[in-house]
Amino acid sequence: MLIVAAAAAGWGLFLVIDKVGRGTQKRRSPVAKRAVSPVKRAALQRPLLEMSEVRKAFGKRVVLDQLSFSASLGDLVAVTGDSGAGKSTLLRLIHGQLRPDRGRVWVDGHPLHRRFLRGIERVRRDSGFIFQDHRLLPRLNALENVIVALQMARPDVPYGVIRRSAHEALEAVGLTEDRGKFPAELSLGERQRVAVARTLALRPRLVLADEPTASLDEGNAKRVLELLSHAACDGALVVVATHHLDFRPAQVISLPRLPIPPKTPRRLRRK
Amino acid sequence: MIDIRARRPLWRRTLAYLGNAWRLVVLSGVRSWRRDLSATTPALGSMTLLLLMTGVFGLVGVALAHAAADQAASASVLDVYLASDATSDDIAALHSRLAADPRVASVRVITPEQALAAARSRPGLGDLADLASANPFSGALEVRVRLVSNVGAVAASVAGDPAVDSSQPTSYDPEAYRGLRDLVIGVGGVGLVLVLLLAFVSYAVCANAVRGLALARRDEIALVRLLSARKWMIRGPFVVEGVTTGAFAGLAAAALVAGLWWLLANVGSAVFLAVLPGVGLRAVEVDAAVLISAGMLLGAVSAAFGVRRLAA
Repeated sequence: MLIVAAAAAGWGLFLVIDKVGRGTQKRRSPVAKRAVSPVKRAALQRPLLEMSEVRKAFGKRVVLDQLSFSASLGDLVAVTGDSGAGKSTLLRLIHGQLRPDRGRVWVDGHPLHRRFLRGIERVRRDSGFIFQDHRLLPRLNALENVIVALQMARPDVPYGVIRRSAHEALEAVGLTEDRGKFPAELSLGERQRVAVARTLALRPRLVLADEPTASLDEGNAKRVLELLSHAACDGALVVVATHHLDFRPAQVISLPRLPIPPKTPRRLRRK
Repeated sequence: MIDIRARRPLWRRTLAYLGNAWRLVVLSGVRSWRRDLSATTPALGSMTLLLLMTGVFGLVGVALAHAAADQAASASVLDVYLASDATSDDIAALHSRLAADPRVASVRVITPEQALAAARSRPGLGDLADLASANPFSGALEVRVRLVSNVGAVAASVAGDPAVDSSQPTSYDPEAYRGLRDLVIGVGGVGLVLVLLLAFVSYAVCANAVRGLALARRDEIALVRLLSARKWMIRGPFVVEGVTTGAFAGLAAAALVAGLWWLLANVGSAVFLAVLPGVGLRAVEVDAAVLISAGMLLGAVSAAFGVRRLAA
């Protein structure tokens, strides 16, 4: 009896908070527009992604140097360059997996160049990363891989919506029939398509794709590039690292291969 | 395409959050446990053995507690020897004074004949009593003190009373009592150290086993972190796995302890009475419940702390 009463009281409280919250949102919206501080307005008008004079080195090997560019929502950006030019490094810097040695990286107003990353979870929740090696969870089948990614990024979305969204995403990459298969049972191309579906199902504001078509045949590569273009048309910023420019990006960032410092024998260094 | 970012009412989001948390933590943890059963078996075995040891220690502890209670009951009985020339008024006054003392539970008069009969029932004393021409025992008051620690004070309070024998007023022996107290403190201390050591060893073994499992899955953990998983989404399933493993280990240990008890109680009852006196079915039931709860707690704690670095 006491539990039922407590549950009913809790439910009522939720409804009241919900109603009050929605009411205040409605009332606040016109005021909020006027009340935005100049600093906040500048942050909102800032491009989603902004990099300035970024340098990244691994040991003595400089991978990126003096790299500056910016991109806004709705842009499709291609990052090209030879192997080892730093395409993956650039994407990892944008995703907050790496920190630049010098320069600044701003993603959605969050400074990812700082030592203590504040808001990195929010950046990652709003962004999707398509890995070069697809990186699916081996214990889950294709559908579960998409569902789990959605549940982790948006746990406040009802499970039914998540499930339908996952089905749709797999259908979009042509894997409806294979949704029950585990990664080990899928071909390389199919795994990559599951990874693409996993990312695009989130409808992220920022999509980072690290050579998404590398292991796909021509038809599937075309389909994946179309999906990425659609994501950009829907308002997301899509950054694709690729060897071959098979699509029409709004911006191309060509990374030069920086010279590798010659290895000096220890004897000579001592002299 | 379904808009996953659509704004939903708070109650809907809350329910969805709880439902997804249930799926991500509990269902996912149980499923991982089932899939990793072969990898979990060593941890399960270690936990079962440690809990079995704990269970046996627990039953021995119950037996020791019974024995200590018996000893305390007999040690709290104080014989106040009456003087041979004590009048009945003096004896009655002493009796009522002792009976009114809040530290005393009961007072019983023992006549010289009763004392002789009691001596005859003890091995060795009976022969000595028969050798004497007259009854060598005087009358006494059997005083049952509520707390063993108060026996000395009660004995001191009766010394010098005209009804009490001046040469040997009571059966109280301070040395014997001090020795008994030191023994109880020593045994209790050793028991506490053993329990703490066992708890530490159990935690260390289980935490290492869980950490081994987590290390085998570190690539998966790294990936789900990149998929923007919160810390509780990573640690939660491991805690559920730990709780499940602990529950099964506790069940197995409880079954083994109960089996051992049944075997001793039914097959070797003489050995059982000597080794585990006063341990009944109720004690075994409590022991089993404690083992299952301890297993679950141990699994949860060792999993939560075992994977904290990987999940951070």
